[in-house]
Amino acid sequence: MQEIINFFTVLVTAVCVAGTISCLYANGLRLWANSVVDAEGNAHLFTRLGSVICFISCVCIVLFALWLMIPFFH
Amino acid sequence: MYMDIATLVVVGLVIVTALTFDFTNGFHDTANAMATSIATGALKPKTAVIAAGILNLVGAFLSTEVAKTISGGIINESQVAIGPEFIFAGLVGAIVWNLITWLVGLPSSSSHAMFGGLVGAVIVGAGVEGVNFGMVITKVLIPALISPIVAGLAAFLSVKLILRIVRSINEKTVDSGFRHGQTVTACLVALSHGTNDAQKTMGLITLTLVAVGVQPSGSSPALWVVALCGLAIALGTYTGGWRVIRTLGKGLTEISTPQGFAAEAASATTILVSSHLGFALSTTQVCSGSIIGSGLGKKGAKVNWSVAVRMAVAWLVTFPAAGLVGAAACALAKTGIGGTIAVAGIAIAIALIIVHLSHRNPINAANVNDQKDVKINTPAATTTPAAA
Repeated sequence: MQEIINFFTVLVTAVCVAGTISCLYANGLRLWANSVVDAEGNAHLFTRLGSVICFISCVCIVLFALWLMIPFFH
Repeated sequence: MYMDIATLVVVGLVIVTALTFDFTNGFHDTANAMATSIATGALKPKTAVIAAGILNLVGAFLSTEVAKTISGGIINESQVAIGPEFIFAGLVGAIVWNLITWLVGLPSSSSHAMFGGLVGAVIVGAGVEGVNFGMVITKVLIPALISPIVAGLAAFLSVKLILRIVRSINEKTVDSGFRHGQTVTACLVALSHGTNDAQKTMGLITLTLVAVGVQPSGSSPALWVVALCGLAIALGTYTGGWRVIRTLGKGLTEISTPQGFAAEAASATTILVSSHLGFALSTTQVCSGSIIGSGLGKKGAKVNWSVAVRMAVAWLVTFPAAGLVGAAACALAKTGIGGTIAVAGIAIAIALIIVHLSHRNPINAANVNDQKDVKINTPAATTTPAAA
């Protein structure tokens, strides 16, 4: 029974985390691509800010992964 | 502490064999982290194997927790005395199986091969009571079935999400963006491989040193053992198991950079989550599953199911096949020092034959992405009208 619970825990967590990273990174790219200065010279600052937030979130997840990987830290 | 010459020879052979296994583990498993990055062009082949080698070396020094568990409960280490010749025979079984699967370009679990070899050797050397078959089911059989499903589903959904989000932006931006992301996720997989796989060999060498009284029971691996194992797996990784890299990167499905990113992210996440929850899955099976999942996630992409089925068969056969070789090796090794040396000689001969066969159709950094399949003999040259 415990094995089945472990399996579903791993399945749900892996799907959610991988999906979250993919969403964040893809949205970061999309927002970055849409934040270029337009023909009228307007820079889309909020779009770029959103993109940066998405990428920073990805970096945080990677750092958390490193923290999990290195027993020295916990 | 006094050690007779026969014991000294056996211990020396175990250490050399363990390091050789670590080397084969490295080159066999380079593909797990780097195959998709090489296939999509996110990293140049040589750069990829150098990065993977360095990260495996770093990973070996980061933790020695896995080294203390060694067989993960599959062998009843407290009930049977595991002699150095058992470990030697088990490692021979694992090395031979790793080399065979490498020759035909099939990604198979080096850990399962090691456990299989050890179980076969222990059954012959100490009897069936030396093996905990319940743990074989929970640590080998169930993970083999679960790993590809978990990672495959995670990669499948990730690809679907990514392609939906980036559909409005131009292909060049998508390709270049995910190329950078894929490099990071691939490095995470390589690092996690180093923190796990090098330690298994450290554990075996330490177990041998404990068995002959060089180290006290329950002690951690010595620094020279950690350094040697880290170097062996890093060198193996750097050598690059190009045959397995081709199968994973090109043979299963045609991968674009968003798919590669999703596959690596799903692999890294699954490996980390499962090991953190104490539910260790095979890196090889996780990575293969995520590549299949990423292939299925993209509309119009095709998965080569004949390769996938061959891989699945190899996963199921790995444990018993390495076990049979380990059992045969142990039967000969336990006859004495002469038998042990004979096993070493036979193993070297088999390895040389396999390496010789691989030279018929060499696959290396220069041609790894040229074709999709791995054949033992060089495929007949074909002349296309354009080329002619």
